[in-house]
Amino acid sequence: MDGHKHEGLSDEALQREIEAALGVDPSPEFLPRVRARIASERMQEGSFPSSSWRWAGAAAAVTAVAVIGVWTLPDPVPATREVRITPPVESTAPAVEPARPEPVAVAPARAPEAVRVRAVQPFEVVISPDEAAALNQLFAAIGNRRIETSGLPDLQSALKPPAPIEEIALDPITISPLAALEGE
Amino acid sequence: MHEHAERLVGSLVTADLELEREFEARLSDSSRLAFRVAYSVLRQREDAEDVAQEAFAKAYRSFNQLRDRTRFRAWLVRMTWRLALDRQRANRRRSVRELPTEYPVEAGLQARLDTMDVVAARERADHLWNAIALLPEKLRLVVVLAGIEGHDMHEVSALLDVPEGTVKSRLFLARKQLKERLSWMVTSTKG
Repeated sequence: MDGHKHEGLSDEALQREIEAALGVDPSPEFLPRVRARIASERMQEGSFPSSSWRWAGAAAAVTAVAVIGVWTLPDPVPATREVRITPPVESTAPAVEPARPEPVAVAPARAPEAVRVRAVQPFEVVISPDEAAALNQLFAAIGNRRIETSGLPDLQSALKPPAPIEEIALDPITISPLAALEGE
Repeated sequence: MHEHAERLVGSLVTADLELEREFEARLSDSSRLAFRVAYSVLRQREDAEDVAQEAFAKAYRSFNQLRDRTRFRAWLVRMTWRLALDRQRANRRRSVRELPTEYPVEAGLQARLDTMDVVAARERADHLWNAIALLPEKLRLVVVLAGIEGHDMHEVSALLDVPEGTVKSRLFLARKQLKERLSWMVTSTKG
């Protein structure tokens, strides 16, 4: 009628049209650009970021190993465990003047740990922490009279202030004039 | 104990290196497919390359989670398709499409075409793309995948993870609709 033959496209012809329309290739820079992008992802997130949970697990395992290693190390200063502590002596022990009796009265209802901390505060620690802890425990135990000190050497004499030094009398120095030099 | 930790870290590094190599192989194998899928939606080379690149970056980030690596191409196609549709929606305002010179015409044939033929070819391509764009999404994807790299029904079925019978029926429907919309192309060329 109008010169148009309303014939349909064959499947093959249509497929050829579609394939031709889709036959576009990416530019040569495409693949290098993708690789660069992947490399930048790798730099930012680490290798395969979604596997980070595995790395986290590994890190946790390594940390656990380190912690267990530290825990199993022998205690370098077992002094605190070696302090011999005896039950409080009621009347048999001789009265020993403790060096610092005040801390004993501080917060008696608290746990022994807290009392001990209070008791050691006045001491200035100038030795290693382990030794300081051992000494503080010792002092606290003496203060609480939990340690028998009768067998110890006389502490009082050791704690006495040193005797004053006597004045040193020096003879006056006399300076004799020099002999006249020869030829003067 | 430390040896165990070192072995654990070492195995993780090795596993990641193997994944890297595998991903690189998949990238080389599927780059054109991803580009063409994106191009079928966007019809613009730069946009299609951007989208395909984005799809590969996304695939890289999740590659480790892909249990069946043989499904990589299907996975990539779906991701690229989705990303391309998202980009298309974002580009709605863009009115200038790629110049039809991008429409692939065999070089030897193009040399013989005069100006009128070139114009006609461009017009045909535009109409074809418009007709494809009007197809429902499921039909459109089947047509596109069947038109890329000579995929047969089985391959399209694998890429879409649907039975071959479904692919056949979708392709049949898609071609029917396309033929109806493009019938003028036959009549005008024959007339």
